[in-house]
Amino acid sequence: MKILISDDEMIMLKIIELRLKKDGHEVIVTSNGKEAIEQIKLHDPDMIIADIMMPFISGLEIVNMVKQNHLHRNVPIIILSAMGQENVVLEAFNLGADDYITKPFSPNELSMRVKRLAASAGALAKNN
Amino acid sequence: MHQLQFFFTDQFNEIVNYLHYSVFKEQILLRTILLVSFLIIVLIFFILYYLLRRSKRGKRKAFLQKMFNDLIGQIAICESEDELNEVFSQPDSQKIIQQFQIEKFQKKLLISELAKTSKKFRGSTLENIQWLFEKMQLKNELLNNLKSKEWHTKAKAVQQLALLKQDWSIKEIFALTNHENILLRMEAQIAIVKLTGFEGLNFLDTISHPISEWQQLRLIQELSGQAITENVNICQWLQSKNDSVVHFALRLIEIYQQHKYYDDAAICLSHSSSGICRTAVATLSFISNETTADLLIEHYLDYNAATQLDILKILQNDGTESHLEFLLPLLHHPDDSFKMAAAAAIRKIRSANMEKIEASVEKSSHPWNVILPQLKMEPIT
Repeated sequence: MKILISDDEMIMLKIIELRLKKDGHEVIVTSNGKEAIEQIKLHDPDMIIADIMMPFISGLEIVNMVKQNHLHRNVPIIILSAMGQENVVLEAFNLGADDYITKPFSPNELSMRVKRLAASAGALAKNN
Repeated sequence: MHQLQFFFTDQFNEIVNYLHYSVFKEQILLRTILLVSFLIIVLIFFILYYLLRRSKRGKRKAFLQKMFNDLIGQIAICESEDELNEVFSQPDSQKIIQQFQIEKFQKKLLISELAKTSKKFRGSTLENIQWLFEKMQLKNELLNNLKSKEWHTKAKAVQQLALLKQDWSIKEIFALTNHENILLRMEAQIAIVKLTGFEGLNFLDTISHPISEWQQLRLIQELSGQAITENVNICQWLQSKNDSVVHFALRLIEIYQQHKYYDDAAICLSHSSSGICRTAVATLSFISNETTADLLIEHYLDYNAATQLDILKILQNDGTESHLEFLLPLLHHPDDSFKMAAAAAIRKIRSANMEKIEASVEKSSHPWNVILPQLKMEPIT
């Protein structure tokens, strides 16, 4: 599966990248929202994992843009953020995010959530 | 003739003197310009050297950070001790490890990266980061920083030890919780709570410095999500000579709904500090029972206006018909906010009491012509 991750913290990107590669996924790494949007158009990822607080374009704006685009609206998005306030989480889900993980987090847990989301997205595609 | 000759000699001397003086002045000016130019050139060279050095250091730092991130990343995702050892002994990892052992700067950077990373992860990833910290023998480095004479070096070490969950340092950090430097003391208090939870609050037994409101909030935030343990010395803290400790203990009772400390908290209603009395009133309202309202009324006259108003607001929820005798005279209090609070309490006890209020006051005169319609609009919960 092709997964795009976007976070402005290098260590965060590195650990998630290595963890997902270990699970056998192809990983595209971006360090800001603008780059993420460009790479989404270029690579058509199967899943997106994005932080909220990023330079140029925030993670929530990415969710909004992706979910409004008819080509990518079915791509599952996981938001990974240190912001755990109820209003932020609700806003993310309202915009169309499929899952929300608050930092500090466990990469193993992220790996499981990716698997679960991939399975449900696959089942949905099969039904359609 | 003689006079004319004298006049010309005098003029001539004056011109020579002037020329001498102006040449001398010019020389001084020239020397000054040269000196200033020299200083400016030296300054420019110094700035250039500094910027070059800084950029070189920045590039080196970025290179090392990338290298360490690779190593930390590899270690962080390991799933067993064998895998950790295998990754650690790989030639690539060993190359990085050798690099970092050359200078103190590298060690400092690695510790900082490990601490920063541990803040963002939990579970086995966090354990793996701690494993790497131990494997790279960075313990002594932080221990030395902890013994540093500079408070900020100590404070940073305290922060990093807590983030990396280094339990061996509890004793050392505990010793700093009552340090004379406020910033160091605050970091140590947070660190000890981060490492040991409620048990860490034992520093309250002996602390002589005040704990600021901000620090109390930080400690409560650090404890959030943890269940209060049986061995916390709340009773002892309520009797502390340090007023901020009493405040904090009352807050803990309130937040964690510790009904078993009701009687101990009630003793604080007679405290010599008006601030503590007010906090005690608030705390008791959160763990109230059927006798709380009577107890608060008993102390009502001992308090300042702010605390008295707090009690009236509590009576809006906890008051009963038996408190009407206390509340009705307050409708004639000179302060309008007391009139309002008392009236609200009377009405909330029973909506029919509105008639009692109307009978006791002049309905058409100020402020009752404003208060009464407002009261009627308020819902009774």
